[in-house]
Amino acid sequence: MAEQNKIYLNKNSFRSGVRDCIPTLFGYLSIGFACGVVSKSCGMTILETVAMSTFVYAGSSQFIAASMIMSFASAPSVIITIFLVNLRHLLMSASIAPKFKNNSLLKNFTIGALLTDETFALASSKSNNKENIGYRWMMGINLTAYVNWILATFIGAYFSSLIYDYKKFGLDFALTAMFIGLLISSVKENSKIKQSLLIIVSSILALIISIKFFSVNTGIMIAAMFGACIGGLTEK
Amino acid sequence: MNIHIWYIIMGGCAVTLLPRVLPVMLISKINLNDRVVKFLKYIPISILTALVASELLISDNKFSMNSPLFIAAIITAIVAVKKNNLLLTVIVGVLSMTVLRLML
Repeated sequence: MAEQNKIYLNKNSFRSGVRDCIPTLFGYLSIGFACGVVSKSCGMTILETVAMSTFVYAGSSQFIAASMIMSFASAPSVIITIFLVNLRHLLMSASIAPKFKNNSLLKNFTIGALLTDETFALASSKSNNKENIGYRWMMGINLTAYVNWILATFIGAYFSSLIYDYKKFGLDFALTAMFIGLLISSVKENSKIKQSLLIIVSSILALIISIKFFSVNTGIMIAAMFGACIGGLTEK
Repeated sequence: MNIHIWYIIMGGCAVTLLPRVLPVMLISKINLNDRVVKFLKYIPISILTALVASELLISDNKFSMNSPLFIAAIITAIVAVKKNNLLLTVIVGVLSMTVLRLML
């Protein structure tokens, strides 16, 4: 009986990773669908759209890359833009690193390679800093999100001619809604609500000020670092 | 086949892969001092705030407020606070955005 329970409750298994990823699937399905529609309408083929999802695997970068491709931007300028838009993953990857201390370099390579905003947020809420996260669980959420994204962009590109205005249905709000949900659950985990609010307010202010001087993507990184510093300094 | 797009895909692959894999591969192997650990602990809240704020408050690299977006965000946030259900949060958010766009 005790052993059965143990198997059933194995929270680090691949399968429980897949299950924990399910709540995020709808949000990325709709935004991936939109991404497929936009890529196709910017002149990319279905194969190129799917290859972009498979190899670049970065939502907002893919939207921006598609629109730059449509306006005949040079390859280096598109690649540099993708780099800047996605640079925030540097912070995310660093933030989860302490939870994967016992893994080999190769295992951590595979974890990092499929890291996204949402699998990062799921992993962050999985455990506090002292606890390690199981490799199988992490691969469970990572691979589920990856396959979901590739399929969603494929479906979007495939049916793009049928959709005249995806924004009409509010689907473009799915990603924002998911970020809001993930933010609020990360606030709930930090038991100190005043400190969380302070971090939120300082991040927003840092973002608003930094976009006067930098692009939005650089602003996001500055805001994230500033907010985290405030968090670290106000911890008792 | 459009070689230009395939250059972008391969280059994009390299520049998105490196920032993702290097920190988790390297930082997990060293012992960080307490200050850095504290800093990293608050990255989720601050970066998610920045992402939400960039969607809600900024358009065309400028500060701007858009009321349907704002109302939908508030409805979404209320659902997220009351229920611990991400899927429900996203669905209510999208539906409220749809309804607001039809009304306004």
